[in-house]
Amino acid sequence: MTTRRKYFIFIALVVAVLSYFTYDAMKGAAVYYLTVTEAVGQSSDQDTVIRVNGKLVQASFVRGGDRIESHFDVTDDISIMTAHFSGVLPDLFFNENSQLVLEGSFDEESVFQVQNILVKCPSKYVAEEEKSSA
Amino acid sequence: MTLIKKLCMPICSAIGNFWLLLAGVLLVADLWVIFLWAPRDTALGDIQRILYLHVPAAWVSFFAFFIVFCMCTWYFIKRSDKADRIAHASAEVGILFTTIFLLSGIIWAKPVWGVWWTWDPRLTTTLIMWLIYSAYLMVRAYAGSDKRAERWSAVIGILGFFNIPIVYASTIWWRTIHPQQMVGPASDPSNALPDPMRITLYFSVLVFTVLFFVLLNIRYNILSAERKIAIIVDQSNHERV
Repeated sequence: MTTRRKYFIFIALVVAVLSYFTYDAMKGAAVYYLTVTEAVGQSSDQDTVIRVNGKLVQASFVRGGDRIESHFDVTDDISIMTAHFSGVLPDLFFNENSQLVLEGSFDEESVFQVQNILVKCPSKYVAEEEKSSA
Repeated sequence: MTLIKKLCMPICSAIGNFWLLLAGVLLVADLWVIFLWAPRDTALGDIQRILYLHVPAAWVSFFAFFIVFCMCTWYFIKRSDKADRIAHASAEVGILFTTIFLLSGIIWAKPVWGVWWTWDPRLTTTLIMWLIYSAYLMVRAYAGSDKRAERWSAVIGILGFFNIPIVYASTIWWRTIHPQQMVGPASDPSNALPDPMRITLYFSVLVFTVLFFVLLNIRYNILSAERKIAIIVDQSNHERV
């Protein structure tokens, strides 16, 4: 019985410690993305590759000369950040419910040079029939 | 011949066949509901239908590993062979559904997010879950058939469970690209699914759960039969000596 109890105490301890470490590590070090405001605050740092989450400012979108260059602003409703991307845009890029997650880094002019665009789709799904009848 | 019959009986018993047949019929019905009955999503189109495979697979994974956790705990309290076999069977089926969970997510991610994989908290913790229970099965496979293998794997089965609440809550606790919960206690009412979509999802969860129990039962019976064979072989070896 005492050995078994020791087993349980040991297991409970390991579980508690592992859970705490996992929670703590994920909370601090592994923030998946920054908000636009947080990113703008560290725009002087040009070496670090970061992810930034924001909404596309639809009116700001401009195609560059050779058609795969795009310039646009993203916002979190507090700050606005200018970004530049060279490449094919994802399907849901212009969807007004989409949020963008941009991977890249700032250049000397504080323009965010995007390497990769991810689209954070809305968590809400709407049936097509419902919409057409509304 | 009678021995083979005896061993196969629990695997293909009448009750077992009934549930197998039921699961088959339900799966076909589920496909019909998902692909023909459920409405298309306005923004994502047909890709959104992956939801009806992805979420039920996730639910069954969590449920399977919860059973592993309970059975491993029971094994430590009672040293029950039966609990050990249920845990083993449940971990195997759980890994299968976690694989479906991960793969369906990957297929979703490419057209919707734009990448096959990203190190987002939900994705990362799910992969960790997959690795933990792969480790559980590896310990079972490589540590031999003695009691030590059962004890070691039971420790992993209990410790590994700490990750499952983290997987579930990862989209609430941390910033993530993964959509928020749409059903269940942690969901935001403003994200509520339209009724036909919710019915489809619930039906699919039900079907996957039935399928889980059918597979669990088959695997459990095979493991029990293997054990019986091992005992018989052991006895006949002793008799020869």
